[in-house]
Amino acid sequence: MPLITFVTMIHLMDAYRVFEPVLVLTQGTFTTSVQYLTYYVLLEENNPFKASAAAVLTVLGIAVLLIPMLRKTWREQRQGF
Amino acid sequence: MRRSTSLGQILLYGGLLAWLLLASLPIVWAAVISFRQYVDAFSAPLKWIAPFTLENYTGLWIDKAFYVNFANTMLVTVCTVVISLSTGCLAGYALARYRGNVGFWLLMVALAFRALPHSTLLPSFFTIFDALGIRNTYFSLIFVLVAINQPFTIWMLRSFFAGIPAELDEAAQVDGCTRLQAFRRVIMPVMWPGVVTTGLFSFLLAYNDFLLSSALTNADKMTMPAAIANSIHAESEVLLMQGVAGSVSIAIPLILLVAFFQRQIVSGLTQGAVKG
Repeated sequence: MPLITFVTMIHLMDAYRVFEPVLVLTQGTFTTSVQYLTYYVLLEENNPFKASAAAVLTVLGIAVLLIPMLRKTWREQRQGF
Repeated sequence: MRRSTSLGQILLYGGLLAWLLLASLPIVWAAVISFRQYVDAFSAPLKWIAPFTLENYTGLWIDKAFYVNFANTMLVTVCTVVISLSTGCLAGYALARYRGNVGFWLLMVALAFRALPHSTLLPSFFTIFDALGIRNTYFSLIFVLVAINQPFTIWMLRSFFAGIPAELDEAAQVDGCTRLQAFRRVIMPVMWPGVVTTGLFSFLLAYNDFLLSSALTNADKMTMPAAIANSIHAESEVLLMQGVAGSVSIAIPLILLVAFFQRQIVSGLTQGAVKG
């Protein structure tokens, strides 16, 4: 996989889990993100069940993003073992 | 030919300089306004020169007892680094030398966990710690940080261990060492650069963490980022300025650390686990 694809993947995942800018700059009023949703539901709404659901859906999203990278590492590491 | 290279260099350095100014502006500006009163810091036509004051820093460090948060951060960070390095070294060494399916699968699982956003682990940890009554303790925070850190530490240390030839262990074993002695007496002395680099990365993760420490700790157990977030959220102007002073205080040790260990961090980026 070319380097540029790899860097894009890493940045996509980093953008997917943006949290601090959302909380500090806008306090979730004008923007929101999956991590902020989990945090907000858990701590402000005090609803661990709904927060767990949000977390599971976040994992599903990251799994989709992760597939190309997992496949690359898989191939690389398979040779070593 | 010579002309064109010098022109290219001018463009290169000009571009780098412009980027440096642009990238450092928010941080430098935060440092500048942390020495001002609220009215001067956020005045509508920007003020380049304003009366100097240390009020924000004294208010934060002395009146708000920010040194407690500083001590908390240091305790949590040092414990996290020590624990994750000592388990990470053993796991990384084993995975670098072991050939088999289990090792491969462990590495793949570690990679998947490394990619998880931190908040996905939060609801379960939060409720379990609450039920056990250990939520607002140093132990629970260190525990979670080590757990989140470990996949990365294992991958990085493993790639460093893989760079050390297996002949070295064999030579040590031929000379009468057991496996563990070979690891401790022969491999570890050669591994120090890798350990330092990995330690730096786990230090940065634990030191910068906001999400987990703000959710799992409160009051006198809070770490520095969690503590200043409260004052930045507040409506009060004095608190906001103290938050600015706090963010500058947090950044200074990091800047010193990165300046001191620059070479290790760059080498870690190029030969670490996330190599392209």
